Amino acid sequence: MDYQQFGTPTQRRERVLQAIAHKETDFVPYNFHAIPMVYHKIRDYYGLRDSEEVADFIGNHIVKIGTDFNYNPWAEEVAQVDLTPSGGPVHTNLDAEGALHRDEFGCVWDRSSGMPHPVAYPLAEDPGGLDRYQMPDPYRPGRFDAAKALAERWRDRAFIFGKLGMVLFERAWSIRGMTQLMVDMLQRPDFVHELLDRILYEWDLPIIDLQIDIGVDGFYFADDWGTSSGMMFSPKMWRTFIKPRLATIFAHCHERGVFVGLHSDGKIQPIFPDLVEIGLDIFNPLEPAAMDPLEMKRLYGDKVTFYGGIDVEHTMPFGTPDEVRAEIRERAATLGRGGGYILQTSHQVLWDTPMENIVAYIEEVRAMAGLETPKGTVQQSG
Amino acid sequence: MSERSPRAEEILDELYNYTLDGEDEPVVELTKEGLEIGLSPLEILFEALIPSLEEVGRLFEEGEYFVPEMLVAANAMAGAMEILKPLIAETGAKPIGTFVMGTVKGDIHDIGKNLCNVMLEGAGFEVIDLGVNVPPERFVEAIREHNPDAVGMSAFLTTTMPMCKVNIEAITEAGLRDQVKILVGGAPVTQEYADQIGADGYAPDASATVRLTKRLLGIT
Repeated sequence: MDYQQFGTPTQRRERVLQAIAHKETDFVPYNFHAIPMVYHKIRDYYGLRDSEEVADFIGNHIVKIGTDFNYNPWAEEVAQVDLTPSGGPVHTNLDAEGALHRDEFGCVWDRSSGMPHPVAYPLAEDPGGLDRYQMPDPYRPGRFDAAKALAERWRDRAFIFGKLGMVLFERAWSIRGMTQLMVDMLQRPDFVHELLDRILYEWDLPIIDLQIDIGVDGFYFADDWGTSSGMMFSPKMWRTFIKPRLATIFAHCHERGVFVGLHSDGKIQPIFPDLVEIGLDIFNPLEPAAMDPLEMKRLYGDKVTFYGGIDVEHTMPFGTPDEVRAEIRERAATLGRGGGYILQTSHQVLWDTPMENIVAYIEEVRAMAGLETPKGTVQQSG
Repeated sequence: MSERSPRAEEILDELYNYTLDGEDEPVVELTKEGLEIGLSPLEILFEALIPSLEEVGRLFEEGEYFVPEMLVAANAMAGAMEILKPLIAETGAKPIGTFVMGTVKGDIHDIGKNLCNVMLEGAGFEVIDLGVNVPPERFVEAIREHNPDAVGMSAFLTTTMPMCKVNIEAITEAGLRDQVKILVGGAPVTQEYADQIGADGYAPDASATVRLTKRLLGIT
């Protein structure tokens, strides 16, 4: 199957760069983002070799190195790495084992159910322990071997993002506990400042530099401060604890010549002007349940490139294939106006999405690129 | 109402304000002092702590307060409740109802649930907290064991929200649906969803949970 016929791969990277420069291109750059299980279903459906061939077949414009998996990004005893190019290497062996797992920071995750969740935090009992607390070594040999290999394979064939999840708030709560950290933000602000500084200087910035050294076009961060009903903590607190450090990170990336992207869930509209102010280039997920995509485009579309916007909570799992196609066409036409848009599902496509909707997504984005899509080789299953 | 000393009035005011600001140590000290100078546990509860937590709930609804402010206020209230609860039990006052609460299976988010618990206890309910990641059969068992008036289910993620429906089905199948009111809540949950799965009600936050429970149980 000749699956690379739509535009040269170099044009994909160029298309993303044009979008960030707020210039319209022949069609809107797009991506498909899903958990490994979904990638495997597509691989089998179209008779492809592996997840990277799936990404290539769909025509993904962006590859993320680093890791996408917030809840266990830096396992030491990684045996199997599943390269899902839209999300970077995902460590799957621990999922399969379903065991309790202590990450490098000392946070213990229970991986026995679908979503890994933290069950113990190194500084849960004693914030005074921060003096003795050891951050992991960002320079550990081999840390970025998989990322490096992934970048080499996709160099010039896609826009390459370095990636760091749990950048500030999430890393801090994984060390101290979410409830306790929120109380600390009010009652022990000095402790929170010190903890965040250690995360920033002893972990984040070295990790960023190490990946930029590999050669990336942009750097993608993830940190959640919102829920579907609002901010978890006040904008004032965000400006006290998070904003100055995020500004340091963004400025550092810009000095090193890479764009900055940010994934942050929920209703964070109150601090969006601040994100623009500190130089955000690309924003994901543009989650339709949390923010009106057109309104965000109207307010910030001239400064920020939106990345996401296809509803992964409603349309993908519960819509019809025609609704999936319609949403893609609508978003491309409206958000793509004047550039500044990279089409993708707001989050990863999960196991709850029927295959016919995934196929509709693939056919529709390929159609944007002027391509017919062959029928799959195996029977569709819901 | 018997006459109160000026200090007693002052203590109630201070308890209200310190709870609002989430200062747990002064709240515990003032509770002790109030009891020493003759305030009753119920006076402290109903004239200082509960009004304060209701104000916290109002400030949260209005976007003045966020989760951290709610947490410290709830902590302060919980400190006072530890002292007051045994004393209230001694007076023979019965809880106004029994509430079984849990975060659904696959979900470990407990901040919202814990806030609901404090508010419900403060309002006079006995709360049986099943914790997080609670499977459907645990809800069913707890209803059999504790015979509650209401059951609350919390789900923070869109991926775990469907467990609310599974739980309700399990409770129905066990033949227990008619004896409890079921409330659902959590960030992705909506009134629409609650209606769709046959819950009795949806509450967007902790103080709304108390109001809704009272309304569903006909408590004024």
